[in-house]
Amino acid sequence: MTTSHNDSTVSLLGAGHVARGRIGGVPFAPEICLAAIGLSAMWFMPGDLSFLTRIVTSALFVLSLDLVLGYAGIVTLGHAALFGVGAYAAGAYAIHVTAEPLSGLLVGGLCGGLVALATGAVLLRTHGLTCLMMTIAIAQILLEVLNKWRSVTGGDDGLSGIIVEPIFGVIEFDFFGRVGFLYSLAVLVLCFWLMRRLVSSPFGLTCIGIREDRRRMTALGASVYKHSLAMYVAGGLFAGIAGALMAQTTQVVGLGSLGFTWSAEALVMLVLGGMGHLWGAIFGTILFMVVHHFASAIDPFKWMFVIGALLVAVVLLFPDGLVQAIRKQAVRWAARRSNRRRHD
Amino acid sequence: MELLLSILIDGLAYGMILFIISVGLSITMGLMRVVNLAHGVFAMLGGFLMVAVGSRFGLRPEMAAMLAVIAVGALALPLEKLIFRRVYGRSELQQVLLTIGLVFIGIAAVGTVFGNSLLAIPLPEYLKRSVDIGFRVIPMHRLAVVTAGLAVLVGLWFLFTKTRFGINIRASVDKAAAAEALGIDTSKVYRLGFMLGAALAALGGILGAELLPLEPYYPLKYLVLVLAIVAVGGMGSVFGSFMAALVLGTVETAAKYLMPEIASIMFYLTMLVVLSWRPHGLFGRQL
Amino acid sequence: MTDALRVQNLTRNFGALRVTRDVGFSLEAGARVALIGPNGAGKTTLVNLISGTLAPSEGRIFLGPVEVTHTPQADRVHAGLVRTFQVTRLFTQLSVEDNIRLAIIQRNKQSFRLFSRLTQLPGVDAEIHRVLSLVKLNDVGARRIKELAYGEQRLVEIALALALRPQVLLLDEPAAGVPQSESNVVMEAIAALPDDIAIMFIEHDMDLVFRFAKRILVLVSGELLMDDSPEIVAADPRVHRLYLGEAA
Repeated sequence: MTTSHNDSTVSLLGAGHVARGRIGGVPFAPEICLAAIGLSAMWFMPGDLSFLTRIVTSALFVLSLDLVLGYAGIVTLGHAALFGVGAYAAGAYAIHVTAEPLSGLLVGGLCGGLVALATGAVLLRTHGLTCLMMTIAIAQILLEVLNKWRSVTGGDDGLSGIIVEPIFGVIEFDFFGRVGFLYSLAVLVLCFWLMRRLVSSPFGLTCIGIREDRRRMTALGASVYKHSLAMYVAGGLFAGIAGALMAQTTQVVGLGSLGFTWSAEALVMLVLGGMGHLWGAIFGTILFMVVHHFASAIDPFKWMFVIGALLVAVVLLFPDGLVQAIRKQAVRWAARRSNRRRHD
Repeated sequence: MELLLSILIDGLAYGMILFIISVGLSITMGLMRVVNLAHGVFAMLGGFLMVAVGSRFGLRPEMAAMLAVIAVGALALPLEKLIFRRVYGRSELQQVLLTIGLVFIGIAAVGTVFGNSLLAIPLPEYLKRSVDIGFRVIPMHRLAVVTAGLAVLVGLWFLFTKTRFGINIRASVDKAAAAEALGIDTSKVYRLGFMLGAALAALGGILGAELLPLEPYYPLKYLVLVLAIVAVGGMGSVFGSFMAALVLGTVETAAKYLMPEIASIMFYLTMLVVLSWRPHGLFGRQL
Repeated sequence: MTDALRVQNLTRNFGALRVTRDVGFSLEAGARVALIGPNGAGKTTLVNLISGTLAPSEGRIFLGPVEVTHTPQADRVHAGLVRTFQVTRLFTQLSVEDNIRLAIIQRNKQSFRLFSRLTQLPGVDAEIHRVLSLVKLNDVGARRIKELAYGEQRLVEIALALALRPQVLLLDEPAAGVPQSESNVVMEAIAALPDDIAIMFIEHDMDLVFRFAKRILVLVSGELLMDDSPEIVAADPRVHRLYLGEAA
């Protein structure tokens, strides 16, 4: 079995439907890359650490959406609900139980996963537009419920004053946000590794099969419902962790964290980067948030115009997302180089 | 008793507005099978154009409203030809993304031109009065809205059952391929259907400005509302939209009166329950 | 000995349209049965009903001693009832091996292994090779489906079915769309299918039918016209009338 040059280019970006994740035989190569990107960002922009941390937590959220949409093929405009649930859970946990951060992450993730299980069980019996509508309805209901539950969530005012104890009891969160950023980056890298393992497992392959052709998979003996639900729960789990991370690093949680706008923005970030590759989620988030940072300072409406135009352009010109477009170009260059080499 | 009647009247008016705005979306979604999240932009444009044109040319509100509705209908034509046509048959996700993009562009355009505040629609004098029906005073405007809603329903019924165009639409909704085989120019039908839907939305936006205030973020704010009506009523069904709008409108109004805390939860719960029971909506068909 | 597959009074209506009318037959282990009939007779619908894609309006289906009339399709597959598709439905972006791997994972009930690496599953790679040798596609294992010729893709369809270790195999026009030059490869693959599987195949290619079928079912307008040996069917005047103009 020969591996062509195409294959190595594909795995370089950690992409391809079955991410094998080794570059030149180095284990954890994608995770090391990711950590390197994060660390160099910190090196180059030491004064913008809160912004960088927001990028990290958002990237984790968009990754969780990639699991649901890119790998399981479930179109949802209500994913933010799971993020928000995790955020509020971790925030309330920190305030009322203990401010230990790692268990807070687990609490957030668990709540996100449980809500995903409960709602997904109902949701995934439907398809297409109906399913989409229900994701929106469920998110709205959860938002209203949390809104009314003032004692725990603070309602309209949001939850504030979330304290974070030192990690492992030793590493204190510093005022400049360095520890916060590194903590978030570590969580992101760890979760990325877990997700990568998940999507290149037999379960992941089955979900990809379901996404591509449900009828075919049913004819192979796979229960579409059970697998979709499992992936939806996985998405909820990681979304919850992302929310918890946000709660811990910004120390406030608002109702916007469950809102439709946040769900839509995550969708845009994912699509810009490209779904079904995990890396698309990362690049899409970085691109979106960086542009947002500069554009919305000028004029919120101009920002919306840019994003709107980008979306229309992506759908009409690059239906597979920008990462795929770049990747295809990279593959073409690699093929051209190897052809040239052969002719020498 | 008075409370019940109040709920019914207000719910009816609210439902009628929702119907007029949403019916166009139901028609186009049933017709072209395109998920169009940007439908609210047409409603919003109706109101904004009416004010812009009316004040610019010093027109009476009725005139301005009529021109605005026609203008929005006309605007829908190039939109369909240049953009929507490209995503027929593509995945739901692609259509969602495209139309969200259009929503953002629409919001940005209106926000840049008109600024980020609520827009007041001028009412003609005779609609500013109120009618006293004993226990309660009803604004003329509400009655006008209910009348308009019924007129739209009847008008559409007439259009779909008695005119050639209407029959062509129903055939195209039912089975596009068969319709084409019969010689129906489905692209033309789609285009006209889309324009009709947009014009109706504009009308709804204008009439409903009191209940659904006009502002640049209008399409996003009321997106879920409109989609809910279409989903619950069933895509492509005018009567379905009518029933769904009335039911959901009345439920939410009742909740606002009786249990204001959970008014919007009731709306979405009703929607969830109906969709769980009948995933294609009350009157929808298996596509 | 119970039959591998038994179908009783199978009926399917779409409103007033009766697509399948009171169909009944059985397949014994090792059966080689061809299902023929004019276009629109309802052959694929029958396969859909038996495999579970479509629910019957009336009738019963038995897989061995077990009734599966109301069992979901995926469960029927695990019980040994497998079908292929008339138009190739493969995962075009994946390699041939990954397609087979998907099937084997389902068969072995390993589809919920969340953290195993695909390459670590014991025996799967060997199984992939075994199945690919049965259809003689070993040398294209690493290639992606979309790079294969259509005839080779039809073979992968069959390989997928074999990977599921069926007891009853329903082949929906296995040679459909395959150019003349490649159709013998498909025929050889079918000839090499294990003897103990019960096979029913829909076909329009009479060469294939008379070469492989030990029994022929003739379906017309949803009803079973005949269920007999090839000689009797070939000699029947009604069948001649049906196929007037078609190559016999």
